[in-house]
Amino acid sequence: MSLCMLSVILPAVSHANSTSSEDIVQQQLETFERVEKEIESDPELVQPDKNSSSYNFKANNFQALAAPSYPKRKGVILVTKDGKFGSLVGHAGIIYSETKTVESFPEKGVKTYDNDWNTKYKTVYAVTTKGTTVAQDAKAADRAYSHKGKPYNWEFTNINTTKKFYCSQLVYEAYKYTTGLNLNHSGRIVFPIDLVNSSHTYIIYTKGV
Amino acid sequence: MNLFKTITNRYKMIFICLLSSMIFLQGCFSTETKNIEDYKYAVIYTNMFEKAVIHLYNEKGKFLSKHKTKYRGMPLGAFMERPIHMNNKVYYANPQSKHNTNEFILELNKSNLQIKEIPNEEKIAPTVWTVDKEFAYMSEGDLTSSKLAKTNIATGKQVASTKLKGEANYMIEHSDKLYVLTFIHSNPDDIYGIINVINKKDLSLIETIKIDDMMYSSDMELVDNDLFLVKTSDGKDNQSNELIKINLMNKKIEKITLPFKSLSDMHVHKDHMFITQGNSFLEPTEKKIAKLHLNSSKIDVFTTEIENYVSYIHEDQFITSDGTKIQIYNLDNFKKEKEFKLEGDESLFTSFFIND
Repeated sequence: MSLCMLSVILPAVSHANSTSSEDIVQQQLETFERVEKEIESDPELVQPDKNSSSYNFKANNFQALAAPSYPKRKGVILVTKDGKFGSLVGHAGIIYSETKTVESFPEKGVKTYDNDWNTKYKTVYAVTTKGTTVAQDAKAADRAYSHKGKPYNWEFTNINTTKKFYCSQLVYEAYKYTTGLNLNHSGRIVFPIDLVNSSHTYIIYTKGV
Repeated sequence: MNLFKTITNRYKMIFICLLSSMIFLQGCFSTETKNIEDYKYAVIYTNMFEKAVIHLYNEKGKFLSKHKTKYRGMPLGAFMERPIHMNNKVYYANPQSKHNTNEFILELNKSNLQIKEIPNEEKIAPTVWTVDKEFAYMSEGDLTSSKLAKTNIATGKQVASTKLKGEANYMIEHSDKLYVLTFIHSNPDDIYGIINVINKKDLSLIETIKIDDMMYSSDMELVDNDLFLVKTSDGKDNQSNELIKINLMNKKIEKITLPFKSLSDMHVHKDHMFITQGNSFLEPTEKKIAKLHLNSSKIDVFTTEIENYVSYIHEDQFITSDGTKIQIYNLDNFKKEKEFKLEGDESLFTSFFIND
């Protein structure tokens, strides 16, 4: 099954129809569960990273599948479904270096953190964008880092501000600014699961899924 | 007579009730308090959302009991995840829990497993830290600058603070000085490290030593006048197989090339330095250990059966764990002398410590 098919089969979280935060949370959890089931039934949905030897840049596709390992490449997007920020299920960040990530948390805002998601979270998805180069992905990470020190954005629907950021909005803005890709197709809020479910991304690593 | 009988029966009932209650209460608390004095190994399981549980084992590897704590994620998220042992205490980083940051490090009393927070007033969630007998030193920063605070462990009062150039990555203390490694990212094509030599008393900067082409170190050790750094990542974010040796007297920097990459922890024992292979992603390695003779620079390489996620040199033995077993090796030839399986837990293995 292609990753495009995955995006078609798995509808994004419907923000417009949500009437309460409980509904929004439930919809995100259900979408995570659908993604998990799809991966369980078709493990080939987890593809090699674009810098892997299995990736054919010219053909823009994969020749062979390699066993995925936890990513360290600058610009790879990380998502977990663990925990909640208000009505946001899980968390998202972007890899800055082999040892560091750029993330936004309520208490510290945008900051670098240790790149150890697979040791501290039970579930981890790593995704990357289709059609971008590793250099463009690295620029997205630089863009995310350029917002360091900015506060957390509790106004989840305000995704166009660059004065404050919540976790998945930070990743969304970094890619939109540097590559033009809109990783939030479906609504006002950019949920962490949207970054996995976007038609512009594909999964390169999972843990606990 | 009947009245006497009734009173006697009442006393009997009360006695039976009291006895039952005592037996019941002892049963309830037995798993929490039994054998705390007898344990040799304490194994910690947690993740960002689940409170840490400490499993205790005796010297023979027999599981004794488990103990819940109220802290989540210790020591995940820190650049310095190795605990520091000081007298009867063991100190851990705990910069993140759930989706929050914590502005303290933890002091765990080995005798009773009670945990105390050592805070700072600079809103530092310590990813880089150390302790001496009286004070804790905590740091955290971004790629530009880092705060550093000094707190009295007994009172919890911050007594000094400063700001350093670059991102703090590691620190150790010795005598009257702190050695804080920071990285300067101002030019992406020239990322380098700085050893900030700091006066422990007032945190004033004494001098700096530049180390070229370096972006991350997972361990630092001071041996006499030589400061050793594991070069985990070079300035281009590639894994390195170099150990950096800095003579603090003449500032001469020497590079020692090891026969493998993915360098993790260093252990100093007599005339040798032992360097383990590992990574914070818990990815498989070749499980190699380099034994560097500090005088001759001769290097021997050994391999352990399990990954060395957390390891110690204790009583002339190498004691290591991958979270499934604890194994003990002979330091001369790295032959395995003993091992035992760990019970495991629903949460992740994050650390273990030895109770002397």
